[in-house]
Amino acid sequence: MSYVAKRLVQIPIVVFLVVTLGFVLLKTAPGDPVSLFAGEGASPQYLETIRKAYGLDKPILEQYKTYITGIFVGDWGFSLTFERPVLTVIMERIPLTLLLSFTAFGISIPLGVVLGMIAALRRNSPVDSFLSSFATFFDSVPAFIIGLLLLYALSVSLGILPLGGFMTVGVVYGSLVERLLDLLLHLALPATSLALIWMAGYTRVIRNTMIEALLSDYVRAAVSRGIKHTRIVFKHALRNSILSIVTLAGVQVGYMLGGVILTETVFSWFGIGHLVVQAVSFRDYPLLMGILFFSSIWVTIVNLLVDVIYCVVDPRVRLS
Amino acid sequence: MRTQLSKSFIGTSFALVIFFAIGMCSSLITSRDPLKTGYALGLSPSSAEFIMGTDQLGRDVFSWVIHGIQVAFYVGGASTLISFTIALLGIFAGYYGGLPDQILMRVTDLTMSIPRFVLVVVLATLFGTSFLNIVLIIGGLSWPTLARIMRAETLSLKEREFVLSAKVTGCNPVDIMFFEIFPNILPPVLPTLALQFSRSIIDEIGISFLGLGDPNLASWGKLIAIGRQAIFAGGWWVLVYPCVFCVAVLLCVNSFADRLNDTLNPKMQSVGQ
Repeated sequence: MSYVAKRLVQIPIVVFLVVTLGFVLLKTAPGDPVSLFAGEGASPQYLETIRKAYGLDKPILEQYKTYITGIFVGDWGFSLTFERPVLTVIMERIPLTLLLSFTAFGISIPLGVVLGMIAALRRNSPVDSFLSSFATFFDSVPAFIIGLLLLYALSVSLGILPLGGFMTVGVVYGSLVERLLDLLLHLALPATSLALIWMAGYTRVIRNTMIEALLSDYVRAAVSRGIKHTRIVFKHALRNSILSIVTLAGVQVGYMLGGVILTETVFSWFGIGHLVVQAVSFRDYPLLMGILFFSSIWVTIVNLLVDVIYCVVDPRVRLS
Repeated sequence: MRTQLSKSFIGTSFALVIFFAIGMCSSLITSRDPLKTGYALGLSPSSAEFIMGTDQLGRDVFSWVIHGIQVAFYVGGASTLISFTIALLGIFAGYYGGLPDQILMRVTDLTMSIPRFVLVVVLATLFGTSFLNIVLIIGGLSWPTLARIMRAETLSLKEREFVLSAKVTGCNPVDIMFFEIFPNILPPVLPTLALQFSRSIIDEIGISFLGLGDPNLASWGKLIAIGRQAIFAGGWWVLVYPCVFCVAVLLCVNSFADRLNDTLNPKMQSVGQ
């Protein structure tokens, strides 16, 4: 447990460093954010007023102090686009991003594991080479391109799925079931495009670790002891692949905020990724920085969780 | 199995060379400026004159797709080169250890605690997006993984006999790092470089798609963004052609990386082949 405590202490340190990085970036970026905010043709007096209001007339070290203490007490600044606190805006968008990405994980992990197992058990057969090329294909391609092609084929051409958003605009739902069904229809394409890309990773990893396990001495020993084939596959070989699934899932969940930006944009899915694009197009620097900090806190917490899961799953990690 | 392996290696290399050649000769293949509007009156399907049709503003899609190959290779090449150059610090860190090593590891920790594409978008927004900025941003964010690989390899190599004997015979450390260690860390480094090449292309397409790209570059990302509008007016060709070419190039680079890895690191080769 002392290990977990040690890792918990790292979180504020990482936040501190990322916020410092963000501050340095803001200060070194070309262009004056105040005149950008005030718009063209603003009078010098007006600019001065804004500068005072945001404390930008103070010495830089003092600004830095205010900025960093603000982050730690939950004052992440004020979004210029939404005219609300940055943290509030981010928190409002999280549920949709979580819904989208966890639906995609829910599809990709079981499917990827099953396909990887099939490829491993039928190694060097046509099935294996098909599945492997399938995985290589989706491993190489960005999700938003798959999303766009699916959007064209299924929504624009055939019209069987909605074009984007997370609910049909202007519809009054008769029941909760109807509402959920509508949400599910909107979720189908963005979740599928992310799931296909993420699944490829699991297929490849499971295939390779399973084959390695199936060729190992302990499996050969199990075979010679006459243990049933299915038992060997599930209890001996698959179990050994769990750690690599945890590793990959940790990386994907941790960095998912980077991964969903383009897919959410394509499908106008109003999550964090879409928020990034809005912050960019309105040059809403406080919001953009808020998302940057939030995403790095997310990465750090997920990494910590992955380490804890390692300890639970693998006794060797606990001992070392 | 060996012959089959090298066959697919030759295949992907050959395809890459073809793409590279098309990209470098793009101005010879098509004389139309990909970014110039008004070649046609508006969205028009493929014809003898415009092989891949035109977009809403009458730009030639074929010309843009072909020039896009060149842009992809430039972006991928330049970013990977920048990343590789910075990552060489990993050899120094691994060789000397101590404080430089600590600093390098903490810096890589920091960059790895931020989702890369989020940071790419933030930097592109703050610092603007000339070609140089884009490759500096992408290259400047890709090196940590590579530096860690180089460091880890150096750590294991520096205790080996051939390095120790070079040390004993009085070689200077820089010579040892570059003539003894560097050539021996290439097997894991080269496939990683190929993967970074394709990741860089994906990142650039992504930021161009968001409208943050260099306005003077005929990037696929921008054309795909135009195509996203065009499909609602029936202009599927503006979306589909750049997507197909982009997928083809990325697939080639990644398969090349896989085969390169199989060839250079036969022990780690995808088992069972």
